[in-house]
Amino acid sequence: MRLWKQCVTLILTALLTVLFLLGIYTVFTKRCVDTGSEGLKAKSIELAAYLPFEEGSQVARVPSSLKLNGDLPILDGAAALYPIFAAVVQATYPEDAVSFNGIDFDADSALQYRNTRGAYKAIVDGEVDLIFCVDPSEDQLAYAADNGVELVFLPIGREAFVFLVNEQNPIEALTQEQIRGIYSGRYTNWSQVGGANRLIDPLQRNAGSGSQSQMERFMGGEPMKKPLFGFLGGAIGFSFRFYVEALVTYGGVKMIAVDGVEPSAENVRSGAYPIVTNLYAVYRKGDDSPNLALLLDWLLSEEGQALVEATGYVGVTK
Amino acid sequence: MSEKTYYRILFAILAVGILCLAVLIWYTADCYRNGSIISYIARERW
Repeated sequence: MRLWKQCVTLILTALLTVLFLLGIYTVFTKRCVDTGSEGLKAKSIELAAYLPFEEGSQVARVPSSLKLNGDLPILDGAAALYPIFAAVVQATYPEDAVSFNGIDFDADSALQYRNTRGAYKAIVDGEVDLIFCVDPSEDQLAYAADNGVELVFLPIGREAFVFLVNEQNPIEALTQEQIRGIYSGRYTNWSQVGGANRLIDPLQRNAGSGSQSQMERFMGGEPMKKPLFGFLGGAIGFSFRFYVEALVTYGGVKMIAVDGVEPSAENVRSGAYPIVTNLYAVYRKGDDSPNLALLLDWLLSEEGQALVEATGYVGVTK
Repeated sequence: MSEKTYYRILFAILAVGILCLAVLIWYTADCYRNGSIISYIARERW
């Protein structure tokens, strides 16, 4: 009888322990719970917000003398560039070219969205014809080479690579040297770079994402470290200006100045902001589709560059 | 079951639970920090 009571007590204790620990887990990971819509959770961007040919859509509408018909190039690309290629479809494609099911594009839609990693794989695999991305990672270039595909990178715009912190973080600006120092582990406390006395949590993205590849370039081969207890500190992250400013509407974050220059469109255009990346239209070398050639020419035309500017980015021809 | 054994089992349950909890919290935070930098920073407390 005594043994039976002890066993029951142990089982009850174990159950209460599990419930208690689950409670603690919920409190500590509250910050990790995304309260965005289903679409945002699934795709990291609200595709519907920039859907072509939809009333109330925020997609840029610019006049276009090019109207494609027949065999349409399938477009795909990075989250940060989705407003551009959605606007390209709006400007140059027929309305029935897009088929959207509320969360994602249908397989027969000429507009697709796989984000950077998926888009680079899809262009190499021949599933899409033109992707809109920033520079690829070494792995993505190797995947193309392994599959005997040569990719052509046509610059169509420019964008600021930005660093962001919580809006309550007193830091307003860092130098490039300080940022490299933070990510390489030389600086581990905000007080070392003019901020508050708190650990620094340098965040990184998944390998192969556009911003992660850009960050690796920015580090210039210097390895990045993830401090073990970084999650206890104040975070710094990186992204692209327009993505932070307009596509992600969480609030609560601020972009910091780099070398004393704010990451504004004007400073990208003037060349004052020091970390600027090209936005590319990427296609397979040897793809001789007539519509693809027309579209590439149009992207660099006055109309195409007006579209890039109207979307919120900076063109390449100004 | 002696009282000593009873408390050893109790201690083991708690130790394993806390260890699993720590790993789970670290893993969740790491996955989320990699995937959703902006919302992670936005939810930070200063």
